[in-house]
Amino acid sequence: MSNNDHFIVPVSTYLSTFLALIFLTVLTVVVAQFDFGPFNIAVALFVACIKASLVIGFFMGLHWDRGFIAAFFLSSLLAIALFFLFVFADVGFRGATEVKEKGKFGIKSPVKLIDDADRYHSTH
Amino acid sequence: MSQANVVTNKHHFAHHFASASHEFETCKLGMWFFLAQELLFFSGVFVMYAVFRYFYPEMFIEAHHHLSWKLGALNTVLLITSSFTMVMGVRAAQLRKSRECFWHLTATFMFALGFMVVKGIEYSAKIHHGLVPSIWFNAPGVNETLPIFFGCYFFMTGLHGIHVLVGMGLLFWLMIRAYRNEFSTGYFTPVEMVGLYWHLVDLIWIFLFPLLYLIG
Repeated sequence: MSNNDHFIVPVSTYLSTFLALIFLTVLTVVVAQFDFGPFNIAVALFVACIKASLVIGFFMGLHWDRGFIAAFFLSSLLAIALFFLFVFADVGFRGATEVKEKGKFGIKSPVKLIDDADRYHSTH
Repeated sequence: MSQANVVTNKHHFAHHFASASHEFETCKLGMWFFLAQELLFFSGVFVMYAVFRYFYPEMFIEAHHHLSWKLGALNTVLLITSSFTMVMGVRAAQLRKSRECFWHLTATFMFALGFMVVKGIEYSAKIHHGLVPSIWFNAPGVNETLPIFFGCYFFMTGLHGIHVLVGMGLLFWLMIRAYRNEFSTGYFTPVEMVGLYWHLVDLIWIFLFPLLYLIG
């Protein structure tokens, strides 16, 4: 491949990407005025993801670039997904673990380890 | 065009590359590696945001009323427009239109400056109202966990703002080089690389805007 083989993207492609991004920004703001309850954040992030894809695909040129670069860059998103998964596997289920421990393994008499420890510390 | 002029504009690629194209592709791969790392770097603050929002959902909804979505939307439009002028600048460099490249880069720089001015207006208003992180928080009669939101707000937008400032420095450097007519069809590597960086800065803001300004 010689130096002059760089693919020159037509202005119309850049211009339509730009207009689509502006339109989606307006859409995000308008949609935020309506209340979808718990889906608010999902809708906002969905629109943000479309905008991000437009920026990565056309402004950053990944659409025309080598597949290897796309595979590498998108694999960092996988790492980020794992990051969220493991953090929320912890913070998302902290309450649930405590509930399970209270009635676990069919122990007949209630075991109140924490209460006993508290009593011990208050009397000593 | 005279033969001499062509020779002066010719870029001499480093000796360990097979061709100028090889050099360009290698630079670009390295840049994408760096950008993937930047995503991982920013993912830390996004996880922080997610955890705090999960812990205090009502407080986050209350908190976003302290931010102006109009200024946030204005900044989004400024950054998207700057991304557009950036790609036009790269295109002008590819087509060997130095003067056009210079003006597109200048426009990108000015939009970035506009972004920082709006950011400055927002920051000074927050500081004036005592809406600042941690122990410095000093606003009366509000949710007691509100300093956490402003910790997130200043940390996320501050980290992004530093990236914008670095980008402005790089754009200024490119403006000087474009003015000196240093880029051409065969060599526009720095313009392309700074462009990629600049779009990533835009990309981060695309997520920060709805997460901080449009909670509801």
